[in-house]
Amino acid sequence: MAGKTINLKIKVWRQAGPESKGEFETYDAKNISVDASFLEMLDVVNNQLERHDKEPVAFDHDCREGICGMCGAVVNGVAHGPQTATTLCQLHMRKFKDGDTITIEPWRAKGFPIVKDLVVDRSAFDRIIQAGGFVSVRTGQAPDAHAIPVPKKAADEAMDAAACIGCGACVAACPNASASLFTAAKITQLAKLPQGHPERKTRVIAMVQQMDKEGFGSCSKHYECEAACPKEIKVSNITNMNREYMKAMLSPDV
Amino acid sequence: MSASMSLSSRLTTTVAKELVVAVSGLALTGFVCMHLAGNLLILIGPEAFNAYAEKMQEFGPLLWVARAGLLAVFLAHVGTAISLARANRAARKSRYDQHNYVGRRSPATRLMLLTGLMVLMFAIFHVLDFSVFGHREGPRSIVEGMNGGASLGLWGVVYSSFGNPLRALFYIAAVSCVGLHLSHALSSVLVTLGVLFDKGTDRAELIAKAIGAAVALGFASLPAYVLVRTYLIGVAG
Repeated sequence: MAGKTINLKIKVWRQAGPESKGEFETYDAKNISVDASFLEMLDVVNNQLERHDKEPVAFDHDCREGICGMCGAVVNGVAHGPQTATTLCQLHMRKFKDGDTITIEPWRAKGFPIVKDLVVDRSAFDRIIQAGGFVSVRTGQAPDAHAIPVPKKAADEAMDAAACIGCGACVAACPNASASLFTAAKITQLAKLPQGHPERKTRVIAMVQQMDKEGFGSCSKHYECEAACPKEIKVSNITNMNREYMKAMLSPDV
Repeated sequence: MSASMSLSSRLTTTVAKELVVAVSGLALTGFVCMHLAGNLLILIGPEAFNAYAEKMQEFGPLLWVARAGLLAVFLAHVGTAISLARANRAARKSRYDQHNYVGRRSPATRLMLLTGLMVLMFAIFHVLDFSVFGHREGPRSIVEGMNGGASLGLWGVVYSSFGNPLRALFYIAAVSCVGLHLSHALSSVLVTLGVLFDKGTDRAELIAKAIGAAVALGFASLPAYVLVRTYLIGVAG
């Protein structure tokens, strides 16, 4: 069964390496099935490029089902493209019209140096999480699951924050390239639960300091992060981070 | 953990700096509201407004303490905001070819730095204009055709200044910047201070816009009043 196909042009960022000067190249993407995902469209273009002995466009991807956080690019000026609450791999070509020219750029932020083409180094996020340190747990036998009571509201808020997949779209979309939404989600996820309480104060200070050290900007409340987030992480997490920070900032027992 | 937990390092992160901007901004908003309340006496008449101005002078040295405090808060607000803005600019060295904003940020949010800088420049001009060079018994305090050519004090200075349409429009533009600045700031500040969560955002943004508009209209009513009286009703009115 031959489904509907469209022909597109893609204007994509090509950069050979971290130190190279990048530039846009335009390629034809012909006979693209509207049922293909955005990444599958890039696969088709890459096959063509390889057939002509050209370097394929490098892009990050892993699960291709919207849960790993590896993929992502700024498509026509919007992180992860035009569909809200959707990662790039779950964006389908039926969202585009025949004859469209699609501009594809990597996340641009000082904290996310470009490795190649659309691939950026997001290890800054790993270091922010590492800075948060450990969570004290009782060693020995596993406790009963119901041994620590967690209020329903706290459990829900922690779970919503934990939906963050660390893709970096918040940084990409933010006019300040701020990592506040990511950092706030990670802080909130642990601060809401009783298990996260012993290191609560040192954690928020250390993670915010690491966020600054990585060269991300600060939050000016533009809320573009929330609009771009494929997991619909709320700005409320940033409010919560600020609240946690204030409590820890002047606390004598940090 | 490589983080430093010293108090000084806790007070210099971007989140701490945002707190400085937020708290100093709230203090400045308080000042602006009191300033507006005093200025509205202009609408009542020369006696009321000049009496208020004289009363302020009676505070003597305390007035200078208050002025110094206000200046310190102002400098903390501007200095910290500029330092954050510079860091934010540095956080994205390579620009996007296309960057479309799809969220709900308003023009006021987009223009925060610009309106802030406009207010800064206006504040400097304003202090020089009405305090340093606006001597209350000087030639500017006399309004032609009013009070038999005698001085009308500070009220007269304001009145004769706003009689110049260019000056009046300049003042209206400046207070519009103040209003626009506040319309974003007053909801943003609640996120910074850790009190505004998702549910209240729409209402907070609406209230912030209302206050911003009220402040701008309140201040703008003064030059508007003078212009209307001078050009539509006639001086004697």
